[in-house]
Amino acid sequence: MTPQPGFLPRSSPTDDARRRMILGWFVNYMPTAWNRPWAGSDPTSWTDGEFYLDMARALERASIDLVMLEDSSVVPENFGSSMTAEFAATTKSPKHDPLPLAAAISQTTERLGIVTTMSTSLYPPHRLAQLQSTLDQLSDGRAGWNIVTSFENLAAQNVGLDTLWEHDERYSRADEYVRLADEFWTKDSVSFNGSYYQAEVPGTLPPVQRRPVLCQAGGSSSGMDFAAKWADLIVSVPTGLPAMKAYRDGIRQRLESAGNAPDACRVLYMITPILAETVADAEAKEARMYSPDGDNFLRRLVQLSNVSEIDFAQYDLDQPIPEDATTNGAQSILDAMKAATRGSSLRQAMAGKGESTSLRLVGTPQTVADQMEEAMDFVGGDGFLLFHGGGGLISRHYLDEVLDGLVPELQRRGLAQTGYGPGTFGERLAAR
Amino acid sequence: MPTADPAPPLAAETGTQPLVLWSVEGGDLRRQLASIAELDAVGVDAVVLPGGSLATADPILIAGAASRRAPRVGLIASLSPWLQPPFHTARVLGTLDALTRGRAGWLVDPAPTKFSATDDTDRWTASGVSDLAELDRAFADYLAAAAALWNSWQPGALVADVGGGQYVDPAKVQVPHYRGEFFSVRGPLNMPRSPQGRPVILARWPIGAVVNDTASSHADVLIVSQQADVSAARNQTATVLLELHGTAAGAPPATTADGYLISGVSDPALYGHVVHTVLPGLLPPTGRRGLLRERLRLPADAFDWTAPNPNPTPNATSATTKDLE
Repeated sequence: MTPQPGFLPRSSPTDDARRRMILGWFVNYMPTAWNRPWAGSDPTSWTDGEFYLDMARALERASIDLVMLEDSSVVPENFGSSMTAEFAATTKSPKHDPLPLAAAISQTTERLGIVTTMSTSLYPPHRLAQLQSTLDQLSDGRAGWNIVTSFENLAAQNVGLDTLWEHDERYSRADEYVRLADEFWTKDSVSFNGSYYQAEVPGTLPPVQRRPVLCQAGGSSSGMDFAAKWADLIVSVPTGLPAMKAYRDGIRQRLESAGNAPDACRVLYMITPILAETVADAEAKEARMYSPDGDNFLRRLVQLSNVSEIDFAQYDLDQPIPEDATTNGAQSILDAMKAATRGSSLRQAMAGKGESTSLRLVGTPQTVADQMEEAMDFVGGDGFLLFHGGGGLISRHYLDEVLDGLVPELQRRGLAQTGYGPGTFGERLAAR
Repeated sequence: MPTADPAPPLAAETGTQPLVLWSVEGGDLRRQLASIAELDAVGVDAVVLPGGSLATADPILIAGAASRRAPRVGLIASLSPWLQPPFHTARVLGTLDALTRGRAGWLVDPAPTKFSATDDTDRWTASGVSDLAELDRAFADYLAAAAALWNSWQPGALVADVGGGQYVDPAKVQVPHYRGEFFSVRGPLNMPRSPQGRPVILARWPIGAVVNDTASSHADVLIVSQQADVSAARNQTATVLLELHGTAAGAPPATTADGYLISGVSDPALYGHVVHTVLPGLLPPTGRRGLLRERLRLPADAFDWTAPNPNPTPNATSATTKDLE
């Protein structure tokens, strides 16, 4: 592992700056909340992007470091072998291409980092490099690329392939892919003859930053190796403080053993705070969000099927997963669900708690800020990626709770920035 | 080609005022965005955004960036199909159409690539292909794949039925399973049908040595560079624009075309003269509004939904505009 060229801060961070956590928001260009309270007047108006442009302005008003736009290219058929459940749950589709939206956000904001998700398995490298350099130019040095490798064979079939490569093979390809993309951004002309990719191509329009900020979510060992080698920013969802600390320490060890500064890469933990005026109110809200029946529960089952490519419609919700169940999807998830449902049931195992959150953050802005402060003290850094659970869930109401309730509380304690520092997105991250 | 004909421009046969499109000069992005906003304010029907090279900015992203400061003008991206698979192109143009509430267009440019980029898969690429007939067949296939994707969602598929618990009506989304000679794409698109149904497609005419080529037979709008080509182009498609390059834009000649594409206006004095003196005489004072296809007076039925066609004709010359509808 050598690359990690990273970004250099314009000045050394002060102790105050070190105390401030990095805050980002992960969101999908998808339907907003449509079948729940605070849905607003038009549940199909999300398509014109105006909701998300308003959201980006609100994030900037709250001095949030970055918005990260998710992407995928499929209508899943994992749950019940058809699109029907997905179209009730809206976990992944309908979804628009995040890149034109990112371009629009670049003109309606001035300081917010703008990270777009693009798949190394689906985009040709020259095209990805051109799009990212264009976004970096349009945003005057605020672009970031969330590097994903995709896992759905249906996505492969949308770009003329039958299947995607196995997990470790995808990361091996991604490594060469990023090396090639980096050449596009830094050279006038590229002549590349790799194991997977060949190119005789002019370099792209030079980005404002040396290259876009590179983000990655590597959970597996090969994913963590890749992330430590390339990423400026890692997003992760280890659950609970010890696992969060172990993950970050693992990344920093990888950087140090490669001779790089451990602060060259920042780690963000994904969280879904549930906020209300009293802890009891917030707990009641949590109980409704994660109640094991109704629309919410169907949505979570569909989501679980989509991330694992296992059809959970085939199992009795009130029984354990059969010990002899097999899958062509994620074996690790099936094994984990077998263990979790042993002696209970799928319904019981999923009740009461959410996925995609590193910490259970349920309470008032004050109590949640307490927990986030304690977490940073325990783990050592570097910040959080806010996420409200994906398609069909985000509302202006929720944004207000976090941006007008929680974030100001963090700011009052000196734990969140109240304005933006100088320089590009990459330079600002490096100065934290 | 006349460059200084002082006669006032004639309207096309329809008796209405000419369409005016403007090809924005490349280079500095901030200047491009400012120019797009200015042309929007003047009432130009659409701007054509330069693409054509990997070493320049992507025109679809420039269009997205311009979409709020320029809230009315059509935004047409010049884009080679050979940059990426049909899925990406269909999706990003569909999103641009949604983001602009129906103002997206695509100036197709299926010329041979100037770069070579390949990988270890056996997918066809245009890299190294100079045979125009092969490229033309491949482009027909590419357009048919994109059309199958644009037709994978019927109008009205977004139902947002809270009581019934269904956001999308699954009966209105088809999996095309498109398999052509060069491209295959399973589909469906993961996004709903866009406001126009699909982007408006424009092409220059004639293109290269292939006379009855795919681009011109599929385009909604053809762009010719001389008056003498207008009637032949009109045999191909209903809407024809005469390109006025550079100083020719200072005094638009009489034409039987439906309007003009102004290009190559980089000199600041000429730019000022055309924008502030020539255009006000050509455009209605309040400007036109609505979907780009309406502004360009294109027949609505050319954008109607038809069931996706999974079995394209292998022969490009027999592909018809029906595949795009």
